Amino acid sequence: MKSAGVVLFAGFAGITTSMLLALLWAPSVSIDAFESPAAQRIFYWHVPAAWAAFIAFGALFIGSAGWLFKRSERMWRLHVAGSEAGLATGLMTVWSGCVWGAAEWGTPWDWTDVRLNTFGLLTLLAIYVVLGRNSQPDGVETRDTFAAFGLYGFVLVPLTYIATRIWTIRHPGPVVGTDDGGSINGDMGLVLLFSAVSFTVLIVGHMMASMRLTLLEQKLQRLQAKTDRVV
Amino acid sequence: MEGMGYLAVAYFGMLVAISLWTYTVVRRSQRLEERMAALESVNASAATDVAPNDEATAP
Amino acid sequence: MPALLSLEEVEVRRGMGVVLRDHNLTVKGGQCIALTGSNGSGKSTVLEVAAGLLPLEQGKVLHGSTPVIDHEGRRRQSPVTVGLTLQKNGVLGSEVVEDHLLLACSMAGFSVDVAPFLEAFNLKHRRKDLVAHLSQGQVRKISVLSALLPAFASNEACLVLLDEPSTGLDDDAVKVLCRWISVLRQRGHGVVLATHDERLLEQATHVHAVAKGTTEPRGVPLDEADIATPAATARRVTPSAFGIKTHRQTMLWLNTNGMAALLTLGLLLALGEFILDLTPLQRLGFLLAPAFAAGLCGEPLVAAMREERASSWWTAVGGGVPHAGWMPLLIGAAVTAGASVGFQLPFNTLHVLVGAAVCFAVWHAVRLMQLATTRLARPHAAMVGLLTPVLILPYAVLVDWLTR
Repeated sequence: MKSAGVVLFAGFAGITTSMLLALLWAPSVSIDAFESPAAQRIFYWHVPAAWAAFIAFGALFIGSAGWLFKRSERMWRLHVAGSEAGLATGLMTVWSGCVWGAAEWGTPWDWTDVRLNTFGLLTLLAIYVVLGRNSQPDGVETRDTFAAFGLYGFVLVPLTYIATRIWTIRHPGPVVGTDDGGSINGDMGLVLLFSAVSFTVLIVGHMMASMRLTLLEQKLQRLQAKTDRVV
Repeated sequence: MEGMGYLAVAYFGMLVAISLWTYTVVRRSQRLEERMAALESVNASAATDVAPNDEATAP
Repeated sequence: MPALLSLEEVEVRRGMGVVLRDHNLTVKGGQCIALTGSNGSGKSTVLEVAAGLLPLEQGKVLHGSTPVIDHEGRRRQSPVTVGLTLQKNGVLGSEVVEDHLLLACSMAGFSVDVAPFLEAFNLKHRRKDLVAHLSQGQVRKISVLSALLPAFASNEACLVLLDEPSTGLDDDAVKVLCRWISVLRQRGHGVVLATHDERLLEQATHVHAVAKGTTEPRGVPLDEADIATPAATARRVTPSAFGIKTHRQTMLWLNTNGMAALLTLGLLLALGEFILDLTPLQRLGFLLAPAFAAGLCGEPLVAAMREERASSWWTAVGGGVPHAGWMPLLIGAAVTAGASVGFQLPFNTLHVLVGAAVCFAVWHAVRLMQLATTRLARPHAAMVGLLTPVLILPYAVLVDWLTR
């Protein structure tokens, strides 16, 4: 837990710093570009959280595949960690998106926006995997079922990623990784990069802690079985 | 300024949410370690209870 | 002649442990294999693997020369008629005794007069009763009969799998059961039974020790007189035919899907004449909403068939879990037509057809999600409802496309 704790602390300090930078230092965008220029600053949270969510869902996918095809205990722990981290970062992304949407669009949710909806579904999948798995005793039946959901649900990740490239209805198009170099200037990019790195560190720390927790739970189960025989 | 206040509240809310999430992970870890320690002490005391009887019945 | 059943190098996990490892078993026509071992040794697991009910970690299961399931998850329909009694009875309380037995017989493509069999089990007076009205022991007799009758009806060698068949049976019934097993063996059918009952063990031609994985032959006389069972051909009852019949008899659809549609429609009507002020896209979205809501409830039979593991019985014997088949088409069309009248919109046949299709597609999509959780220890707690919003996006795309 010690190494996970250090990483977690570093990540938390990083995102706190990036929030302060976003509020107090990052330059404001042109007033004409957004209805609510102040609320636009939430993207220093929104975009890195979505980035961290993709990392978490990637871990969920790899963990699910690793359990289903290799029967690896380590991969199962990665599945658990990925789903929990995906749930948390998914909620952060959706929540920050709702806050931004309420200020910018006048509504926190838009059913016609494909990315918003696919990301909402991805988060719902994470909620389902976490709550559903916790409702079952650990065993091959539970693991196979939820690993299958983790595997098939991953199809939403590329769909969400390409959503704004195909259907730019309300969601802004990509701001980084485009052919023209994106629409972000130097200081904005610096804060965004710092925030993305901080979120990555935080989510990695959380997944390390979560994997260790699952390992502890498995040890506890074995210990309980041993105690059943002794007592 | 009103917009910045709105943003600051949103940011603060999310920092609190992350802190709570991190706290639950730490608490879960502590509880698991406590339960494991309790079980290990039960196992240890059961083993010492059994040991004298074994000696008593030994030839 | 190929074996009726072959388990080849089978490995099975259940819960946190490996129950069977490198397990082999062969059953030929005319053999009765008794599975022996202490509680938890894996007798029921062997039977469920033989019935194709459990996924394999390694190895494969063959019925005749056809692999019905292998470790890569491939499944094929069994060419052999299977009769099955699980530890649970595999029969719904809403079924009529005689209907269930004829249904079991139909799996072999035949029909027999069930009266002599019911009489031998002292159940003739109950043939028209609902299973729910019988005692535990009587339901067990029905469950055992439903495994044996397909073999009695069939001219071809069948595989009969019996898990603790004598549990709850009186002495007379066990004697009758022993005689029937002997007759089936003489007719060339293969019988596998898991039991601790000495009387049934005496009928076994071979004893298979599950823990060791060894099979030993034992002498058993072949002196039972055959039983005349004139059989007529019968159409096999499909999972959808049974599902529709069950929906009609129990009105399960009304309790869940029908009520969801009616409540959605009622709620929209309570909002007044707002629908006339909406855009065509919004209007069609609301018009189809009751059919969509009916479909979102999924297949109520999935939960209902958990009673006495009826869905497992159907999967092994009937080739699939019963479902409502075309019924959602009817429900979707009816509620869309009702919504059209309720909203005082001009009747549009295309919209009614789309309502039918939406209800059908959503109903069966949610059913697949429900079936994905059937292996779980507590499938009712798995919260599949959380996944149903995944269907909203295709619904919105469809409505958008129709109103362009």
